[in-house]
Formats: sequence, C-alpha cells, structure tokens
Amino acid sequence: MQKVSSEIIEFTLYYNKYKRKLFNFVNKVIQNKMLTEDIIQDIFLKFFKNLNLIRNKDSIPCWLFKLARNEVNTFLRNKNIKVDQFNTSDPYEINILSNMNLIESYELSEIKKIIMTKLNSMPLEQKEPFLLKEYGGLSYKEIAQVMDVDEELVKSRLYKTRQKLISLLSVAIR
Amino acid sequence: MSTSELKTMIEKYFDNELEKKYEPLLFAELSSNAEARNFFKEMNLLKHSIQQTEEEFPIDLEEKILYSVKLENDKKHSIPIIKNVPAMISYALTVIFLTMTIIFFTETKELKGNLKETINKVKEQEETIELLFNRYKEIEITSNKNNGG
Repeated sequence: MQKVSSEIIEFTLYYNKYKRKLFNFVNKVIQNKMLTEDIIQDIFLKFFKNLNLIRNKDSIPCWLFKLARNEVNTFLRNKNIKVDQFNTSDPYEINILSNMNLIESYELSEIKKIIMTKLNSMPLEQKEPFLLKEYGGLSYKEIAQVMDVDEELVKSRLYKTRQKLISLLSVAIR
Repeated sequence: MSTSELKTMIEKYFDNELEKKYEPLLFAELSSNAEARNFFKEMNLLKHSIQQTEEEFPIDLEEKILYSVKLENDKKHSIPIIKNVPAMISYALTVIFLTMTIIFFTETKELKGNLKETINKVKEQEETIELLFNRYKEIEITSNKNNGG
C-alpha cells in the first residue's frame, strides 16, 4: 500500500473545510460553472504546492480567499468576460423539496431569483464583502484582510448590501 | 438602546460575531422594539434564502482536484534530482573536487616522505665518503732534482 504523506492529509483537511465555500464564492462572482471549476482547481493546486510555505496556519482561510479573489480578478480582467445577469442554470427551474408544498417551493425559487438578480446588478466592490461573509463564512476581520480594507468599511458595505436585499425581499413578499 | 444599535447587534448575531453574553440582552430588547423585531425577521429570511442559493460541490471537480494533487505529490517525491539541476551539478562538482584534493594531498604527502628519505640517504652517503677520505694517510709530494742534469 502506498504511504500517504502528512502533506496530503493536511491538504485534505483544509480542502474539505473550504471547498464548498470557495466554490460558491467564485461561482457567485463569475456566474459560470465551468470557469469556476477551472479556477477552483487552480486554487487548490497552488494551495497544495505552497502548503509548506504557509507558516501561520490560522491565516489559511485568508490565504485561500485572497488567492480566489486574485484569480477571479485576473480572469475577469484578462478575458474581459461580461458577467451574465443570470446564472448558467435555468432561472425558472424549481427544485421541490419533499417537505415543501408547491407554493412554498415556488416562493423560495422566486426569492432566490430576486436575490441573485439584485446581487448580479451590484458592483463587485459592494457585493464582495457580502459574498465573502455569506458564502465564504469569513469573519469581519478576515474579510478586511482579504480585501485589504478597513474592518469598519466591511461592516458598512455589508449593511448597505443587506438593506438593499431586505427591502427588495419585503416588497416581493408583500 | 437605540434601534440602529440594536440592528447592528442583530447583524452581529446572524454573522456569529456577537458575544454570547450579549444574547440575552438582545432578545430582551427585541421584545420591546417592534422595528428591530421586524429587522430580525427580515435578516432571518435573507439568511435562509441565501442558504438556499448555496450549491453542492461537484463530484467530478472533486475527482479532478484530488487526481491533480496526487500527481503533484508523486512528482514531488519521485524525482527530486530534476527539481534543482544547477544545485545537483554544483554538488557533483564539489564531490569531484573534494576527491581530487584528497588524492593530491595523499600523493604529495607520500612524495614529501620519499624526498626526506632520499635527502637522509644522500647525507649518510656524504658522511661515509668523508669518513673514507679521512682514513687515508696524508701524502706529501716532493720533487726529484736528479733528473740527469
């Protein structure tokens, strides 16, 4: 049996912890699943290559999201991709969960659509703290480190983005 | 507590940034503030809706990533020589020079010993020759005047 290196074990622990968060963050920014997959693969490969060089293991979430942010920015700049207003998945597709009735599922699908459409229409600098918080699960401090901005600015941008989404949801529900 | 302060607390609560000791205070304030209570409900709805938009990590991507990491790991451990060619060349040259230095040093030491031995032999021979010379009596050479004149 092949001996599993400690590096692989360490990598797997971090990989399992952050894979979904990173995937959702990148996917929500660039809104293209195939490109997201390429970027995520690059991120984790770079992470594996540099794992031994990262001395402060507490900084790993920041390191990963900073790398993801750079990759996304480079990608958007180089390819000059126009971000779609809608996700690649069918916006009218409704996934009905077993414990929900049809009306609830439809409402939830509508709410999701409203949120995503609104988020897509926002400038990246405004929605980025929100995406890092909601999908990345980072703390205010970590978001500030990743974005290289002040923590108070992060809080204020988060508040503004949420206010916009909440007001939209309130109208939709009424 | 003002409504805006309460809203900040609510945000922190949903973001897991509110210290546990402030939670009872938050809920006590919420019971007496209708606007904040409404904001709490809206935040709850927003959080719930955002959770619904989260997607599962694709299995095929997982396979791709783990495979590429495995390849990278194999590469790292199987061919360390190719990794740093200039370092390997300099290492090899150092070993060669070190071996040559040891050989030359041993040779020189041997030659030095031989030379010393030869010098001693020459000295001994010189002394022997001197002793041999000293063994003979002194010879006086005189001229003969009766040569027929």
